[in-house]
Amino acid sequence: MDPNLTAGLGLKPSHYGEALACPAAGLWFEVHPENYLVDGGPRLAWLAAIRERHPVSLHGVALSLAADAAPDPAHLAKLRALADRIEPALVSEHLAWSAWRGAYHPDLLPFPRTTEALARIAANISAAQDALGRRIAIENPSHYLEIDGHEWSELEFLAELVRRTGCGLLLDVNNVFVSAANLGFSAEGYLDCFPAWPVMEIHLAGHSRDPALGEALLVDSHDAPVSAEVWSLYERLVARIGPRPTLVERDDKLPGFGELLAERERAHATLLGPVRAAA
Amino acid sequence: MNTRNLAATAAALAALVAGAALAADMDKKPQAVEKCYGVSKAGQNDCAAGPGTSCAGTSKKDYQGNAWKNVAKGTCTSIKTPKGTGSLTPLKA
Amino acid sequence: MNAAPAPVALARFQSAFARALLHDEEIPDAAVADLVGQPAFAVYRNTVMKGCLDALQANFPAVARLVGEEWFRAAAAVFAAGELPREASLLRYGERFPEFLAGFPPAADLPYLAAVARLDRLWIESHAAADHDALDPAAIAALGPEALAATVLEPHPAARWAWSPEAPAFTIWRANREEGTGLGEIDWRGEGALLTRPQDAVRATPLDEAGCRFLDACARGLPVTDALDAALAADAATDFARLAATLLEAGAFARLVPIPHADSGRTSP
Repeated sequence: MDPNLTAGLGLKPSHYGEALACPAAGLWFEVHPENYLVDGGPRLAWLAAIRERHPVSLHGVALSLAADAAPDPAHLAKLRALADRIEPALVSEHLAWSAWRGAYHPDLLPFPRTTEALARIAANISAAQDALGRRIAIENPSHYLEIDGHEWSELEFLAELVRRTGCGLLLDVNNVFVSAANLGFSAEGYLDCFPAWPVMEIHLAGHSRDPALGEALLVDSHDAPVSAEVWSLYERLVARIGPRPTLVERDDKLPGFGELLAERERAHATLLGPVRAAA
Repeated sequence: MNTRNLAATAAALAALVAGAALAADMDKKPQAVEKCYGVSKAGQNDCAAGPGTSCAGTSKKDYQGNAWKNVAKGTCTSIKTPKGTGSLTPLKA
Repeated sequence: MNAAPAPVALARFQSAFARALLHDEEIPDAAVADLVGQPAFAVYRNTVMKGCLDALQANFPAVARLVGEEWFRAAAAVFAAGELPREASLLRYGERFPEFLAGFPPAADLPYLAAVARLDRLWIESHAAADHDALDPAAIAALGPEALAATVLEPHPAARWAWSPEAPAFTIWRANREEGTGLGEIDWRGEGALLTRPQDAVRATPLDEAGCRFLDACARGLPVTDALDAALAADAATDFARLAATLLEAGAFARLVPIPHADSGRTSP
């Protein structure tokens, strides 16, 4: 693994100053590119300043690759311009949809994994990779609903997308934990079968119990530290597939930078630790 | 624009130039650059999408409902307009 | 679900799902109706709405402070239900929110609210606009009055201005952008505002109507002489020395564009 890209942190505007100054080895930062698709101003200035000191990853939420529509060419062009400027170490997107018929829904929405959807999403990923001139990683989603009508398992679906488009995968361990709890499958079983070689990046985050439904519904809220269960799933995963760039995400109830850095240190230590890939 | 009063225009142009000279003479000390490159609260809007990013909701609604009942919590209650202190109308959602 | 369901067409699924996110009515699509019946569907409904409301609250902080968070989010929910974002850069969401507030009956008693919302909006536009050096005042001083007459003053890409005839919107807005600053007695009259971003931070400067009209003319690409007329039409006693100093010191212009001489200008078709 690239020694300059071990464990990273999601970059929040309130931490710009500390992020810029932080000397931790292998530290990198991830942003949602949608928040930087501006013509100029302080946001871009900050991102460019951070990019001078640390690798940066662009983690998109808006390409809406799972919509039955081609990705917006204007959006792709803006994304390409940002990528050319920032030269990101990684670019990723979600296996989800959010834009539909001109309206943008600020969420990552689910769909039935049919053969029809597979063909459409593969075409969309290829279009995005062509427009961006690079390979992108596709992230496994969090699930809340039992959807009737899946024709493919998620693992087969992801593997087939890789085969058809040459894309990479972003494996979010917390999403697996949350989905396994909500839909009643084994997180270990899912992770043990996840195709290893396409994994370009791993995500870790905290989740919470739904205030109305409690244990019956876990929400991928990114508002808490990474849970003990997710850490142990992560360690098991790294032991199997070897170290991969790993991001600790926190988007709500934001603690101080130091607290996030401590979580990131744990991932960093896991990546460099005695656990070694067999594969 | 033939009705333009040429003398007035000339005077106004001269005044503009004089004002420019004044601005040029003003101390060229750099403006205090804000600590955060100007990213103040509004500029921190970093909300991009739902679960998996920064706006995750829950199954409990956190909007509407009885929100309209309480309307007098902002600073608007202290602002007197010529028609008196304006108030917000409570409504049922 | 009794018989094995036919494969769900993706577009049909998405249209029904998107509609169900915002509306409680009966769902025509059986597959989606089944999802809406699950308690977890509310997570999607609530996340979409929360994403919109968080964005509007972040984009209109002075409005939110004026009316309080609860009222703001309730009003924003009415707006969002009628107009979802059109793009994922939520920083730009709410372009029509000031207009919405102007026609929103529950806010009818706050005649300044829409004007304050417009200033919040202009702040965002200034914040995210392209970078450019501000015009050096010395360039105008060096030009002299005659050459200046045949020039267009091009506004800086981050310059925004608004004249609010009905209410002292700028005073109210500025007092509500920062915590703690109180409002004393307000002199109730129209007010204008100029927002500029000569370096990184947005700066706010009071500007009278003549100044706003002057900038309007500049933005339309009219020569300085026409901009002077526009200012004089608003205020026959405009102090242009003061106006020039205010605008240039704030960094309202990007550059001077000379107008080609009338003769040479006609050579091309």
